[in-house]
Amino acid sequence: MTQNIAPSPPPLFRLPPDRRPDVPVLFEGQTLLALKGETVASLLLRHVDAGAFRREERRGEARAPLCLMGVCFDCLVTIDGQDNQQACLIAVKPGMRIARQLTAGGAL
Amino acid sequence: MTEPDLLIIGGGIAGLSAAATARDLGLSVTLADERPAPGGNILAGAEAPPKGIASALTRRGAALIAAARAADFRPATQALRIDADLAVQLVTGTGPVETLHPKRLLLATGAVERPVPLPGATLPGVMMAGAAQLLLKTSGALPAGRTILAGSGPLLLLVARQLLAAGVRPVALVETTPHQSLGQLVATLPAARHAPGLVAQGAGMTLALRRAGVPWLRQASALTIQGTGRVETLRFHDAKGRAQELAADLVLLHDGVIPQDQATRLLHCAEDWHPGRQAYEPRADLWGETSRAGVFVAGDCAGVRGALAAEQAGILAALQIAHQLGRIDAGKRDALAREPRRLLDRQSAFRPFLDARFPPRLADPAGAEESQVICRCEGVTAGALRMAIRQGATGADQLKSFTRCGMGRCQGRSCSLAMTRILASETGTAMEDLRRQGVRAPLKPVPLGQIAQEGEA
Ligand code: FES
Repeated sequence: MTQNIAPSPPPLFRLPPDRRPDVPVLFEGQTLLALKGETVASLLLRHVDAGAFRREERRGEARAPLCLMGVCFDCLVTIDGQDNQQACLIAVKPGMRIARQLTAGGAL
Repeated sequence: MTEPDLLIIGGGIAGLSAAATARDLGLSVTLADERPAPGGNILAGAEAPPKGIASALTRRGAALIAAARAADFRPATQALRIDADLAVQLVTGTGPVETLHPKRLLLATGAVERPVPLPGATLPGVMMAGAAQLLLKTSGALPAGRTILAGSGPLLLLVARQLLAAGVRPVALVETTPHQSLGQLVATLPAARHAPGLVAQGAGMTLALRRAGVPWLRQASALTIQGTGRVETLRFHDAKGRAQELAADLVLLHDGVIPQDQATRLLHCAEDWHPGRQAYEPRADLWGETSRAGVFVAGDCAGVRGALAAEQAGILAALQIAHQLGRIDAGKRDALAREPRRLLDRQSAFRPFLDARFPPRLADPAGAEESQVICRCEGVTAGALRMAIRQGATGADQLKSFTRCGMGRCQGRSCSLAMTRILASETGTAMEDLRRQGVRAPLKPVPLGQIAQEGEA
């Protein structure tokens, strides 16, 4: 249900050099380092192309986080096997498994 | 503690200050917030603010957060269901559902950004300005590509300034704020006089933006976002009505904020349309008690008046709750309320200035094209809504069941106000005379399994 991270275009956000992420999480089989306490959405916005963040269930349109405050539900991901989690409301934990939902009508 | 004196939902400035006051007066308090850390929007990241974000407010906030963390604070916790007898179902993460029976309930759920149904607003690369600010405050993350800020309101200018301070230069600031004549500004001056500090702050912000030389296009209109699969360009009309187009990777939109009111609507609290703030607001007395006895509101969820007002409103609600529960007599309550009330009144008096200066203009749903998506979850367009209204769906709940507008995962959070606006304009009804679509439990979709494991822990 997932596809590999597209090499381009680059993610929408970046970290300034003084921030050192050191919390390892497992994103679709690959280890990413997150900042302690940051949300899953915050992490993914620095690592995946926004155009391949999520597909909505009805028509398979590409969507990405809009509000980061729990309102829009366009940030849904699968966390530790549980579908449709609001990535903007969930903090990273060491070893957390994160996957996108990129199939229309897939994870429901 | 399943029967606290007070359950507060929302750990922003209002909820935090209410919790501190209530605990000082000897009440047992449970504070629940859906986010992983307390602070809400204004105090997000206040425990370790990045350079240039710390202020007197964030320092006070950090102390309130420390106090909350020492008490019964439940992060990552959603209220799923609130019954009239104040039985409240809470769920933390993927854990079991727990039911609390507080003696009083304070809703301090804050504000959300006014939804902006613009052409192209569902494209990846469109975000709300407040979202970018949250990232900046909580993780220091910065936009990596070409960034445009568009819309209207103090927050838009603040985010522009904060990005500049962090070394990010936006491609442009496209402001939809209308031009104000001298007469109009003078008319709001009495309000502005109540908070000269805030007016000066605004002027300073404007100056900083001018100095930075970011292209600042004012009185823009007819904004549309284009792109295949992601944002590519922003088109708009400039002040002279000429068509403009700018390339962008990230478009940050803002059109002011409105109360986050799912919980008061679930409880059928009486509400009123506030024409100045262009929003529905729960009706409440001077202490924040709603039309449902025992249910209080404080902060922006009771009507947007900003962080400083929210801080005081939280204190006032806690005082009245302590009084109702017999901890303090009316004399002590009133004495303790004097200073918070004075500060709150001052903020409330200033607010009309901001409301008049920054009316929402970015996306008027009443004038939306037929193809405009109103309900992001179900893909319902303005045209589909108008057609259903013509076919007889002239009530909000009817319109919802005809079109599925508001039936998706977000349960109307992103479309309810826009849908109501279209309903008002199509039926020639005033906003204050409309009944909005109902809100039902659960307030957030949860897997059935989680509800089934309910334990009265
Ligand atoms: S980004 Fe809007 S709900 Fe998560």
